[in-house]
Amino acid sequence: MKLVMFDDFRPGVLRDSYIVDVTSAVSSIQVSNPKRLMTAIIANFDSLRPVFERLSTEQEGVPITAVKLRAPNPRPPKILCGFANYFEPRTTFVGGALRPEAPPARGKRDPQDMFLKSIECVSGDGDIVELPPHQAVIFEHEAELGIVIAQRCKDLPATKVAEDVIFGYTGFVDISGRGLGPAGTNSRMGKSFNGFGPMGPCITTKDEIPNPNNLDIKFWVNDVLRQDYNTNTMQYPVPDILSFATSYMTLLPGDFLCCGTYHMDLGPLQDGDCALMELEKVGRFSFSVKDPLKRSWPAETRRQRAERETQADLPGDN
Amino acid sequence: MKLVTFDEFLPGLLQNGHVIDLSPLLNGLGPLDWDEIMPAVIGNFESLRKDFDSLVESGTGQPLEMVKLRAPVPRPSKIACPVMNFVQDPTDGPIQLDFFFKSPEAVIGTGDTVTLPRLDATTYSYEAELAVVIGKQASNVSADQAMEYVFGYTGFIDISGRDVGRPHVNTFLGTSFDTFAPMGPCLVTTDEIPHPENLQVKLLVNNQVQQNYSTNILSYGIPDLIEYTSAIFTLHPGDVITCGTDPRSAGSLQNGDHVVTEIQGIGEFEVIVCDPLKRNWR
Repeated sequence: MKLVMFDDFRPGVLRDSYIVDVTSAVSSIQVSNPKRLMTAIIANFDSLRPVFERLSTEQEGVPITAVKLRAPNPRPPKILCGFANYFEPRTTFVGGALRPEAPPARGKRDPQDMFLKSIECVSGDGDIVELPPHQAVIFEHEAELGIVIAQRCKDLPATKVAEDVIFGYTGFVDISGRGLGPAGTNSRMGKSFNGFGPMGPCITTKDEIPNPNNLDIKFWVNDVLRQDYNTNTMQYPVPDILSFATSYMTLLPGDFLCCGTYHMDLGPLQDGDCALMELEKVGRFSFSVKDPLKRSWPAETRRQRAERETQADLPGDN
Repeated sequence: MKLVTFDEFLPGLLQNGHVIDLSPLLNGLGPLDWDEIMPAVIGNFESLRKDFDSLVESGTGQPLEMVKLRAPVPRPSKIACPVMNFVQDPTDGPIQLDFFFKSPEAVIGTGDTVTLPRLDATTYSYEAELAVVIGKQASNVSADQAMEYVFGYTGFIDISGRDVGRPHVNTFLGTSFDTFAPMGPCLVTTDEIPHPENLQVKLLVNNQVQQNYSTNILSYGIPDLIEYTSAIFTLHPGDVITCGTDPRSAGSLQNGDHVVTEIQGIGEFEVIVCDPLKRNWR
């Protein structure tokens, strides 16, 4: 089942390109803030699911184009993102310079890590992400697989069993301002600006995605494909992510875990950009970028920049 | 005024050693989850305040020792802490602010237990800090307006597992283990603490004073901390911004430690430390 939130944060079931409003099925759930409704639906999904199924087969619904789609999990109790996490030739920004590194051999993984991102960062399909005036080196997109947690959990094993606590999956872009904070550091706050977490288009429940560790992720900026990778190149697949996160903290229904990204094909987000993300079995959503300061970066990926700079350096080296 | 959360996460007013249950006043505030109760009290404080007196006169309070105190804001929607707010070496010049988040699931209250995880940290450290509780929604607030957004203050210990996770990329996740954010004992409104920039913060481990500093040694004051954080993310009633600590006196915790934190004008609270692995760092 594909769950969405739309218009004034009404819950819906997405079937093909139609949305069936299931508000009537959740009338017994009282929430102070409609953004908390999805968390409550997740916590009560076993009893709600049959009603959602009935409504979505009985009713035709409205075309998805006729509604304002919202982030499907608009206010997670926590957002926890994977640090790096893909097998790839790594590039890191050191003082603004790009340094390609050899990838680690499979089986010889980097130490695992994660970080907390502000829950205020969530935005949805069609929203405008506004860049803050902060003087980042660059603002980049990181398209990622997002995991929505179904139940309270702690200390999970790093085995397939851990996936039992998953409610479903959605697409997420971990927008990242680089080079903020004290010199020589890369402040995590660069990822926590309001709007820096576009999410969508729906939550696909886990029964429709038996293997989250083999999903294609694509990300375009202005119709140019930037990221195109598969989650089968994760250093730490989903059970490891769940095990790691819960070795630190209790997870709650609605908590949101992101699986990291493939960094070689990251590139800038800047004023006027229209971005589109596609996650296999979940779907596509888009957002646009506004920068009141109209800053400008070359519209190229880290890989393209590394290749260009390497070539540019060649005459001097010889 | 001193607010507390007690027993099954009920909101209370602490007065003359008695806790008065404020929940009867909240009926008009709609459905509230346990974590939304204190933020709702804070966000609606001006309208609720007029009813406090009648509640106090009705004598519904219980002696403090008869209730189980919780953290005054038992699950803030966000807890943001400065990475460093003290100049260790004046020749380095002023420090630049940076923050990290702590997991809201890390919050515990007085009398609760800090449980050290099995992870092999180099140490598990304590940092006693003054914590600011936000009173109203704040976004892009300038320093000169910032104090209008402060609801009150409470005591806080930022506990951290050092050198966990990937080396050289500080994600600060070692600060977010469950139970690593003891808070208490109460939330004191700003009118009772006119000078938060000059409060004595004390932390004792097993009756030995380990930290004893004034907030006046910190580089950036509360207005700067609010200006900085609110330029990044929206703050809501009940959100917690901590003020940082004197890092020279921060130290480590281990199994069996009894930790008392005391902040002038707020009071003291205590936690004990449990390490199932009984490691020894001292």
